[in-house]
Amino acid sequence: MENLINHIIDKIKIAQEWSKNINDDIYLELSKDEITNYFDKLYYNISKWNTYYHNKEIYKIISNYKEYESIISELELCLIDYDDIISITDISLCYYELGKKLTELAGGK
Amino acid sequence: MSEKNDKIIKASTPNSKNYDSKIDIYSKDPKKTTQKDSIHFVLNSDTGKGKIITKNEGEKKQETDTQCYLTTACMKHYMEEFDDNCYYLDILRWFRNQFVSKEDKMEYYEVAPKVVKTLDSREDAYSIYQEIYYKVIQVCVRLIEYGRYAEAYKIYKNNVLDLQEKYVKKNIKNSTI
Repeated sequence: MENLINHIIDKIKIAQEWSKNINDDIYLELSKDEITNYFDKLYYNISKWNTYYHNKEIYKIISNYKEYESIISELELCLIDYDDIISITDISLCYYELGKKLTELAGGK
Repeated sequence: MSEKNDKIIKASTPNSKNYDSKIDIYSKDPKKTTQKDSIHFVLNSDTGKGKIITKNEGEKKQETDTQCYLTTACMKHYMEEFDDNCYYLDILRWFRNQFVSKEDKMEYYEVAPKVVKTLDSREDAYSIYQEIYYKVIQVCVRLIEYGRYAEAYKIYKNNVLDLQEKYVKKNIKNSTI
């Protein structure tokens, strides 16, 4: 679980840095600012998840999981052309794997 | 998420302005390999419009817009006067949202782009679309107006199966010979 969270955070950090230097353009349906804001939000919030996990506050992760899943899904849709640089498919799949682990921890609910 | 023949398939709801459903198919688990090919199918379940994005390792993505042949039939019929929010399409969308099962909707979304692609390549496309307009769209809308939903559903369903048989399966058979 920790490794998975750390892996996602590391990849998001790379994507976050990358997004600050992209052209001010529209990427399918997201602007540069929207992309940057999304990565900032993901990094800021998911960075806290290991602490929540250690403190047995899984509910705090679960309560935000769906919201960030939708954001990652949208980022994957719009930034798939840059997958070689930011590994957005990797982020998306690892996040899904995390979701499965959370479901197990929550007792399959 | 399911895994079959080294493929990973997952579904999600993107935080998108245009689409409410997304299915991702990965050729292999990107964590285990550097080869990262994927297909992403997004859909707006209200309008039936979608997009298929194919991304192969080291290549630019390829985009294909999926199409609805009922909309195309209306477009061909009304030509310059076509309106995507016209009465007929609005009625059919309402009917689809109220009565058509999820399985039938998914079947339509799968079949429709293939039908449109095949029809558009035919010389008699216009007359086939006119036939769809008069024999399916107009008839279904009249039945829906009179509350005869089961009959409308039957015509819609038979039409999907008929078009699939005529233009999709036959096309697959021909292309494999």
